[in-house]
Amino acid sequence: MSISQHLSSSRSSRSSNKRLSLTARFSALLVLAVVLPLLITVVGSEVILRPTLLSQASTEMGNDAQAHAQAIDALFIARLQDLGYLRQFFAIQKYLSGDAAFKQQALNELAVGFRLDTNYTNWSLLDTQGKVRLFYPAPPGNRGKYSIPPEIMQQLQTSNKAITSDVYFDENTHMAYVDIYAPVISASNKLLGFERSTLGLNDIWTAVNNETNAAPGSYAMLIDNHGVRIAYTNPDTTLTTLPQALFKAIAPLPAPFEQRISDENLYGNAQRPVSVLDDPLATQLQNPQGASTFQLTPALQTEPFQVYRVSCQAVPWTFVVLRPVNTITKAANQQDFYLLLLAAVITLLAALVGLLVGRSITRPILQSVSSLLASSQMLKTLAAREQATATEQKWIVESSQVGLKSVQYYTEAASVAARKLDEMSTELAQRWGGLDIQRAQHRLSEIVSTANYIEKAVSHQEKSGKSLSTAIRITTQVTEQLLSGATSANDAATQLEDVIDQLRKVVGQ
Amino acid sequence: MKMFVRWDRLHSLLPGLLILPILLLTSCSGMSINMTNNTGNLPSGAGGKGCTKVGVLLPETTSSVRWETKDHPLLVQAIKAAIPGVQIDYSNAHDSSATQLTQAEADLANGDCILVVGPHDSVAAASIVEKAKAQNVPVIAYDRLIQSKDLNYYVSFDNVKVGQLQGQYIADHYQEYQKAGITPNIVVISGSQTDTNALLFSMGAHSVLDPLFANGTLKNVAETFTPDWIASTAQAEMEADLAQQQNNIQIAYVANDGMAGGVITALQTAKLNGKILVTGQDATAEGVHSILTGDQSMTVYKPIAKEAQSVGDLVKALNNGSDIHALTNGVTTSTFDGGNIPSILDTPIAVDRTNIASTVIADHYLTKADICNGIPAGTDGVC
Repeated sequence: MSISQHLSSSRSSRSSNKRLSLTARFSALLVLAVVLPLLITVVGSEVILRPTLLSQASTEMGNDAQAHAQAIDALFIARLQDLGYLRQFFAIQKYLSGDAAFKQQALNELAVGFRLDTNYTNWSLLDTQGKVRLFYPAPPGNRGKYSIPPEIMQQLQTSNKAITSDVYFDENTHMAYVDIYAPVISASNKLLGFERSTLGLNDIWTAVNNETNAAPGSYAMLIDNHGVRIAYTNPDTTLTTLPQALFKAIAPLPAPFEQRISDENLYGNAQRPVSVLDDPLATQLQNPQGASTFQLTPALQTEPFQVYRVSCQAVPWTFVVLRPVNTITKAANQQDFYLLLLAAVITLLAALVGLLVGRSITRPILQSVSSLLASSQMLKTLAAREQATATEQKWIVESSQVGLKSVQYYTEAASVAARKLDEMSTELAQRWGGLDIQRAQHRLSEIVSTANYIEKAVSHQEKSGKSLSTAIRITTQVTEQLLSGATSANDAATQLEDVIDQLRKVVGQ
Repeated sequence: MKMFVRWDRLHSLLPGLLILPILLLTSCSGMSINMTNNTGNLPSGAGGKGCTKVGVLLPETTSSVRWETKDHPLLVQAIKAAIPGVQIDYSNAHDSSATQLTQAEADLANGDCILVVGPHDSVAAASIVEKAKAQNVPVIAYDRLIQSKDLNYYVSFDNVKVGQLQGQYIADHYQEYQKAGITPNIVVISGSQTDTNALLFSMGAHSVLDPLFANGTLKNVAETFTPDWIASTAQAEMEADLAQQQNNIQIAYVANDGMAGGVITALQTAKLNGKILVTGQDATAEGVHSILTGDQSMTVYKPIAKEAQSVGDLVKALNNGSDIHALTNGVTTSTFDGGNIPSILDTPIAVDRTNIASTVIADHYLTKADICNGIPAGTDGVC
């Protein structure tokens, strides 16, 4: 940096310092010193606490969703096994192979199956054409236009596995259910017919409804592989009405599946036609390998939610838990609010304290400044006076020099005149007898002239003496003035020392 | 003036001062994230070949003492015999699936290259299989199936066979309890409906009994499942059946010895004990004692030593890299997700008063002291 730049910056720094008073700067510094740690805490909260809370909530939600998905898996695995084992029961196989003697025992075994889970509503045996041959406890109704939907029939004829249907809705019981099918195959590997159990989703709906207990505002849903919400937390705690989003698709459905819905009366379509309620979830669920947890504003909601999704293994369903971000970050929000409130109060107090302390610091400084100003004025007056005095003194000296020269001149002239008088007197005395009258008169005339000259010189000397006397008087006055000026300067110096003492007290040195 | 120069410097440092702690904090949190993500590259299990570290994970200690008193020592013995110098990491989940998963993760991190898992929960334990598969570590499900198509092997007893033995005993002995010219009435008291093994036992029994029901040889008058295998519930079920049938019951198919004890109590109240065929399972000391008193007719003995030995054989084959098919004989068990798991299903043994000495006593599964209390000396050549 060049000297000129340094001077310039120094000047600008000085000018910027001038913008704020010391009191204001002191207050600002105090406020900063007090508020800074709070601000760091707030920023820390934003950077660390908030993500930590979100992470913790995601973990909780993940555990919750995992537990629910695992429970659904366990339920369906057990129910698939029920059917898988019951289809191997001897009487069932014999009855479906055409031995009517086993009818009662086959019925007993259907009853055994029915009692394996309280959510079973029906067990039945169907022949290879899909016609119901035996049932417990009541004859099962059709699924839309079919006793067994064609897609399921096709799978059953080509696979030995138990199959879970899509979801149906019973308008009478107001409950969703699924059918589980398994082919009944003889020891000789011949297809004898099919066994079907009908399982109500009561427990699953209850679990989904209970999600509200997990956290305020939290809810859950179960979405099937077609993107239809098959379970949804019911805001109606009396459960007399169904949730608005239930059996609504999260994205438009393909036409063939819409046809299936109609043909098979899936989701209770006949009474409550399945419609689309677009949900940003659809984008996330399209990618099964995508993130398990994410944030979005779901359908029917107006605020962002943290979402955790888990895919079930035993059924092609996705369990989704949703919790308002606000409730998750509530602790951080509250902390931030209190910190900011605290910061505001402390800022106010610090500003007031800073103002008071600043004022107490600046008061002596200002007093010192006033004193300095007075001293400065005094010194200025003194300087003016001394300048005048000096001018006078110069004039006096010059006058005295002139007077002195004049005195010297007239003294010398008087001396010359006196010497001349002496010479002429001596000559007259020596030549008194030989002098002619004219010469004597001439000499006397010269003596008179010289005496007049001396008289004039003395007169001039007197005048010069008077002038010198005046000069001496004036000099005396000037000296008095200088003395007075010195006294004033001493007073000013004393005053400055006082100011310095006061400033030292202010800065503590 | 100096003070203001310092203030100027401080002012320029302030953003730094503000950011520094944040950076420190974020770097700390970043560090913790890195640490949690740092699972590292664990050594491959090599499918168990050449394995010298085996993890054994059993499910609980509360509902049955067998896991600690029988299975644990027998498994350790069998595996040590299979792989000399093997290191065995044993753990018990104490009724917690989460604990069992943590224990399995620790075993895998420890370099165990074969896991023998008696799952606490057949569904939850699929996570263990998944993690082990990722490290090429074979998992042997012990006694209980793990519901995962990725499970490598399953060692248990043939539970259908258990039911068949019970049913066959009824088929062979019902006449001893039949009143002349009257079809014997039978009640079927199965185990817990939440336990798939109960269904397998029932399936096995029905495979024998259903033809007898169909041809009228026997009459099935009641069939129930007993939640949680509770003896007092079985007693209540039997009391209800006796009341409904006016004590006209000749046979009680009871799924295990514990519940058989409850049924016998109900029969004692009705003064019918010893007059009705009662089945059981597990060859418990109480069950065998009831056989000796005549209150219970039979039980099914599942020699745990044999089951543990099957695990030892499998571990040895894996260690050697030899053919497993020779051990499983092509037997598979299906899982819900379409898996067919190569299985060693050991055969259980029906035990009645004629073969107690040659089975449970001979195998040291039970001692005479366990079963002979109050039994006259010389009874059945056992006491």
